[in-house]
Amino acid sequence: MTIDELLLQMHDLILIGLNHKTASVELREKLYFRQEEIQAILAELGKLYFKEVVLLSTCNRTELVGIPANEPVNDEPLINYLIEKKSAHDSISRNHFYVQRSGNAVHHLFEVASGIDSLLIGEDQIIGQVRDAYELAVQNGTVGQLLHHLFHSAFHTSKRAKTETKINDGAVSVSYAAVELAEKIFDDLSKKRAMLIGAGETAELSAKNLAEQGINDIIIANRTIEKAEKLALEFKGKAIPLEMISEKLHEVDIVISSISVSEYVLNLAQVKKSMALRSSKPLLIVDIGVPRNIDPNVKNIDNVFLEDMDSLEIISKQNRQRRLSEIPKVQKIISEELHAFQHWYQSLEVTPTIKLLRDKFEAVRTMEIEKYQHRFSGKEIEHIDAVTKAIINKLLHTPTVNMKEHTNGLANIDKATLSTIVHHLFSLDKKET
Amino acid sequence: MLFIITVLQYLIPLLYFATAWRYGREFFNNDLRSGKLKSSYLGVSLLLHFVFFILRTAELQHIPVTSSLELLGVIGFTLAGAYIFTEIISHVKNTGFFVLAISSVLVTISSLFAPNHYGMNDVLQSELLAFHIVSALLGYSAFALSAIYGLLYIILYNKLRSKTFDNIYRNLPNLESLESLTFKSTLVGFVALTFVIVVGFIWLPQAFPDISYGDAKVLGTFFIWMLYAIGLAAKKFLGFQGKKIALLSIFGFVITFLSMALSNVISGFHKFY
Repeated sequence: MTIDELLLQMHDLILIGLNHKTASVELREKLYFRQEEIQAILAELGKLYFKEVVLLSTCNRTELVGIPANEPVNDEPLINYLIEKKSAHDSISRNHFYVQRSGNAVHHLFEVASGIDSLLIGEDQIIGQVRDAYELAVQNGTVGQLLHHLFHSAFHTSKRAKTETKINDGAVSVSYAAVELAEKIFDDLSKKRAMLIGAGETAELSAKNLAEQGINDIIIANRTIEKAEKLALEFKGKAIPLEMISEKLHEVDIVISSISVSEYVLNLAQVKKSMALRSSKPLLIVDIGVPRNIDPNVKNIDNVFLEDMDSLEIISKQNRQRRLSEIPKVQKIISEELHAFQHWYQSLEVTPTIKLLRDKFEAVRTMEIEKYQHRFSGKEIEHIDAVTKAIINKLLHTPTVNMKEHTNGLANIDKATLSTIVHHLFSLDKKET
Repeated sequence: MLFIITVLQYLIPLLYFATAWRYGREFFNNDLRSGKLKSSYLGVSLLLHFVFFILRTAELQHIPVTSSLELLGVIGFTLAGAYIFTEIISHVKNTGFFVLAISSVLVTISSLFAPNHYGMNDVLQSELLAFHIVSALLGYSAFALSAIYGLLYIILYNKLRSKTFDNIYRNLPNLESLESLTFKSTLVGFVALTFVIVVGFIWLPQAFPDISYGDAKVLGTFFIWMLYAIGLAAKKFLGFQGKKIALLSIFGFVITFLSMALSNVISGFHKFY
């Protein structure tokens, strides 16, 4: 069976949303739902439109995934509902939304969870956001059997993509590329000290990235000491005036400079002196200031690694390209997981359940006959075999007919409920021993 | 048994090359399958090589240290063994290609050219000598490993300084790990070589009563020991770091290799068949 054939078979699912591909950041912001807002509308969505529903809202996408209460469902009221809730009629229209149904919706959710639908391909923040959205819906009682299995399949797909491919490898943002450089020089960043020259936005982002890697010892040097102190307070660092940079340089392993100055804040002689004081231990200096903050000649000193904006751009660009080249591998995983999900979905039909039930009874019958056959002659065994078969058939006739007749015309998810009860009641997933 | 030995003799170099290929595929092509299989390949290669040594020793009635060609095979084995040990304790798992490529060459030369002499020279019937040989193999393998890590350090160092952020840059471990591996390997090699010299000095007069301590092999070994002692002292007392340590380890091994090659030609002993 091809993927397209599989996709057509999942009738019960709808996904409506907008993302960075269909709407600008201003529009996405307008349709962003905070956690409290999601909590409030999940129950309402459940009453009005859905049997099961999850609402995912991040800075890059707002998506509604659900099992409609009535089929066929029209997407128009759902889109209008979302727009009305955020009073965004003036700027957001139907054209900004995409609608995916059945298998296409599953495929889309798997792509989102694995990070290949993200603005920064392969970023792993999205899986946390998908998980949060799912858990919020669970808390609000709007997740049933199908969405439960769907989201767990999405988590599994994401995990496989992360471990079986390199979709998540390497820094793709310039700010994080500096940390990647540091990781290529030093073994354990948590044991290193860093100095940030400047206290602006770039310094703040750098401090955040370094702190995330466990660097707690940060010196912040700035012309306006108050600004440095403010940033130092936030990251439990130490603030120093700009004039003290060379004095403190030998104490640090990483320097990130992003200040606007007309002269170099560190020259060759200062760095040479500091390297002598630190016994030539490796020093990483990342100069992202414009114009340059550090004398370019310091790169000639042994064990000094002077990197600039170009280095960071090269690293992040290469990593982005590398992640793009991993997309086909992730798509293959998605296709495999889609098959697995489809397989599970088909098992929700009552016919396989009936077959499993009959197989289970037959296994018990055969096992018991084998156990006692040494007590009977061949002729007697033949009679026992025929009689027990007839008993089993009569016992199973009524439940079989009822299961088939009572589920005619029901949605798969309702058939699933019945199937699940029968599965549990007779332990159909366990083999008879 | 000779048939099995012959089969293993030609199979083992192929296994070593296959292992190096798996490590190389992972390192240069980011091949995940090779990444999963590489350690198993190495484990199987080492196990079969060990079995080969046992069978060969039983058949030929001597351990494989009677000639330089036999020793090359053992050095290839101990180098790969030292590598897998390092891989386990340091968790640096992607530098195997550079070590195993060398092991493969050494093992191949040994397999193709080492003669199958039967019996053992009486000189080799000594427990002290066994200790001497094991220490020597461990020491020189550790020096080789340290030179390889030193070389990788220099490669990464230059890539960082020249802003060449290619596949090799991406897949090499960080500079500090490489420096640590270089230093620790050198230290293990130095301690082992110290044992080699001490045990050698005790055993030598017993085995060769008329030996001259001016023999090229003895002087060469002592020269190598002095060289590494100076290097280690430079790190300890002069604070040598990073690039200097890496360069010293490469220089030390080149000198060791040349010195050993030369002294093997000139030396009056260390030929036991």
